[in-house]
Amino acid sequence: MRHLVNFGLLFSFLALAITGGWAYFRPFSLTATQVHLLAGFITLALVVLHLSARLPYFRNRTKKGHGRDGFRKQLLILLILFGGLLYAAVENIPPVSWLIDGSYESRNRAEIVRSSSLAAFSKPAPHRKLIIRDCREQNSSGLSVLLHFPENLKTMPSVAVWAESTTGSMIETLYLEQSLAYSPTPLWEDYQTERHHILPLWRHRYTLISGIAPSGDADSTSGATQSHQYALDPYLVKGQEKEFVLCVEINAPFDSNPNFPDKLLGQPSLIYTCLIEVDRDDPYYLLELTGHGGGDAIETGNFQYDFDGIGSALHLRDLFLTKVEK
Amino acid sequence: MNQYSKRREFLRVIGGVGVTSLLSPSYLMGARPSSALSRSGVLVEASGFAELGGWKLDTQHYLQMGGNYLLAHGMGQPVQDAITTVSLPLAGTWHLWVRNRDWCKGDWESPGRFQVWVDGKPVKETFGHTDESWHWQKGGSIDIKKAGDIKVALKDLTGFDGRCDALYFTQETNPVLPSKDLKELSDWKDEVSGRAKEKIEEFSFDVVIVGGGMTGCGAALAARSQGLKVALIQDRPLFGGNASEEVRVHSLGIHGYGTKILKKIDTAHYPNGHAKAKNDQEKREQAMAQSGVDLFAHHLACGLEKEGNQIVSVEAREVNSGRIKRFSAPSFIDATGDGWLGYWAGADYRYGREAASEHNEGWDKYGDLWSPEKPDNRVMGTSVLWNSVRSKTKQDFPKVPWALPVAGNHAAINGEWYWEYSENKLNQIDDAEAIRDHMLRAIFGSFSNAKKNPKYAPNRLAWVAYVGGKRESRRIMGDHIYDMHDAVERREFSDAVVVEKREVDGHFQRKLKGSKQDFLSAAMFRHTGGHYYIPFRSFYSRNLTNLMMAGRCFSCTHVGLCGPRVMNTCGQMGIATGFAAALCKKHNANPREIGKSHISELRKLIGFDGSKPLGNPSKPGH
Repeated sequence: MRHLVNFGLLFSFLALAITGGWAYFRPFSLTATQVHLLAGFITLALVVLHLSARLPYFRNRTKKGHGRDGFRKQLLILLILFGGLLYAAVENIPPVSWLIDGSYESRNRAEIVRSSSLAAFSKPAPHRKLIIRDCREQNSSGLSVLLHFPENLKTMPSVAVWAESTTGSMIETLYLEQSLAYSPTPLWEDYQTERHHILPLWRHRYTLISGIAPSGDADSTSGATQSHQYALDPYLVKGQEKEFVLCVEINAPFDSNPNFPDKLLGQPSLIYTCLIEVDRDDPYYLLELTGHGGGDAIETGNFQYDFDGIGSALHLRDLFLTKVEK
Repeated sequence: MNQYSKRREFLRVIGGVGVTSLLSPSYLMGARPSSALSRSGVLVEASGFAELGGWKLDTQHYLQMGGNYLLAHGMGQPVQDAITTVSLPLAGTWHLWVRNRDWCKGDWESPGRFQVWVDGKPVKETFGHTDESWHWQKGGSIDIKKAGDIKVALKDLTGFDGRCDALYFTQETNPVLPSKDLKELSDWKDEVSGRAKEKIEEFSFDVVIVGGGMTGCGAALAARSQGLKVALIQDRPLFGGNASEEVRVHSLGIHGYGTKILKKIDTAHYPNGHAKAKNDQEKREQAMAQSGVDLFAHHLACGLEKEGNQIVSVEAREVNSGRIKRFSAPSFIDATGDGWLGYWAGADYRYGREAASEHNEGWDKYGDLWSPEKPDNRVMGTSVLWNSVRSKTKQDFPKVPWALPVAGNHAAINGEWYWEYSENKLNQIDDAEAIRDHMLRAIFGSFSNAKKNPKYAPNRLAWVAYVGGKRESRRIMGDHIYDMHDAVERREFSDAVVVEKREVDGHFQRKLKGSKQDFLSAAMFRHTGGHYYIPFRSFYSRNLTNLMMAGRCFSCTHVGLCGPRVMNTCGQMGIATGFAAALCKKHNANPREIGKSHISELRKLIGFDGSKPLGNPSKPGH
């Protein structure tokens, strides 16, 4: 039994160390997280087994007797040290903050996109996505976005959904494909690709929020904003004639054609928009094809309006619908 | 004025003021301009600029503001300079005064700002941002080293309809210039320009037709086909009126028996505002040029001579030069739409909506929207058509805060027939500039709102009319006042000369039913069940013996107008009056006598079946 526990702990520690290292050095991975959690529970169980076999030892060490005073002092120092580290971790102060600052998440926080906790996503069917954005404000509206893709679509396109002002400034990212959310160079269909090549229009607008240009350079005209996740709230308040633009950018891999020959990227991303008027009587809005992310959009982020040469990409959408939930 | 007097009298409408005289007039009639007015300077009328650049010469409001002004109608893009050469007779310091207005005053930068440049340099002041009414604004001083020509340019700063009527260069430091008195202004312009010393050019015709829309063109072609010597006077440089490429309403209604003539001047059924109007314009201009009619395009009717209860001659100013021509004839046809000839000559006329009880024209389905309990001025409105096109690149559009009080939140990228404005307190004639400008604010504001939607980022304004398309104004009264029952009961008239079958189609402003926008209208249709007819008695004045009227100023009630107001039908009216003019000459008779004694001949000329006494022929061609 003892050997079983020892080897079990070795394996589970190894798993914890590897996945922990992965989480520290690499972008978020659901698989690594799942393995880490599982290893953690196994380790916990093995530690309980291990400690239960050592109960006499603990009892012995806590009894009064010769040499116990020194041990108590050591234990107290250990507890203080542990408590101090715990406090430093909770408060994110050095040396813990030094350690955390070196992590991937910390180094790349501007590039990592996390939707608002008020946003929820579901996939009611293989070819549908439903995004719901609630609002914390009084007398406000919610928002739901239904993205319906054709049933015969074999590869689902990557998607970003965001709200922007009528002057084109991003307000809030409501949804970004998980595989693209944690790295500027994600794996896209197993090929490492620049994220701003996949969804250039979203990425350029995201510069306003992240303060980091698609090139990776700090953008001197923008600044990261912590309130980004709730920035849409004021725009959803009723009775104030609020309006904003909802954007959905999609891009499918491997859809090259003679005009867009890059095998992986193929035809450019397409952008669908609608102007949301919160107080409008009719709560439904169709998102309509507005532009694309080809041409110089990768460099500039400007919508392109010439659809000549784009073919199959125009048929990636079945119905994109938004409803302002009154 | 005694209508039975045989004394000859002259009426000249000068800047909206009618002046009558019993003496054969030259340019100046009545009281001469005040001697205190400056006369030593050099007047440059905007209409006389040598090169208009991108500026439009707007003749629509001459009778209300006293000039044919230049309009910088650039749809948000500053237009090319208008340029002319001015000869200053002396060296020294000259002071510039500019007659202009701020057409949209408010808490914003005025949209119609422009500069005057002299010999390549701007004068001190900017124009179009001071007074809301037409006024003279001091522009600054220029030093001229040597007498002779200087180059003057109007430089638009906004593309949003800045307007300039005239420039006046003077060496007087504080010249007295005519202001509110438009008669004095007009006389002063004639005097300072030197026109007042010229002799008025005289012409004689068999029939004079004023108004070159489809009605006037139809009348002219019909009269000319019978060998008459015909004068057609038109204020705009193009023929077609609402069907012209300046307004771009497609012609509706049936040809009746007038296809042979109307197909030369009508339009295809393109969307209202479509550029295809240019093709039809070309067709129409060619037809008119080849017709043998004496065409006086860009001539603005401005007065008439009357003897007793008949018109003797009509006067018109050539728009660019301001020179007056006089046209004498035994018969006149008022195809102005606004009924100007009849109005000036003292014909009975109506404006506005009759009380429902007056002709029993009420319709419960729409109540007051259709016909009011009490008479009012709420006529069908003026449309200003417009459209935008989608390009392949992003198109910026300037901010237009001055337009938003009218447009509100309304967003649009084009405007069809229902972009229409009428208001009880506004008169479609007297307030035509304000009505057109209101529509421009609605258009620019709505387009600006649409541009907030990324979908329309690549849209740019392709065309916005600056000439309003009127539906209804004065109606000259004839022996028969055509009303709703004539249409919906399909009454038969033995003197029927026009046939139509479209619905009685009245408009009301949507705001009356709670809409936020006051510049959009809706239609009400009352079906007639088939062809209906208009008698010849609705096409001549009941109290002027030699005046016929055709088009929307024919003798009808407001509701009576709603069906036959469209252009093919108006063209039929023109044809009927044109043929009637021929019979007037042939029988040495007036229109009423033609209606009484020669109606069969007239109907036969038009194409009606002469063997049937009533107006319900079933000949093909409807």
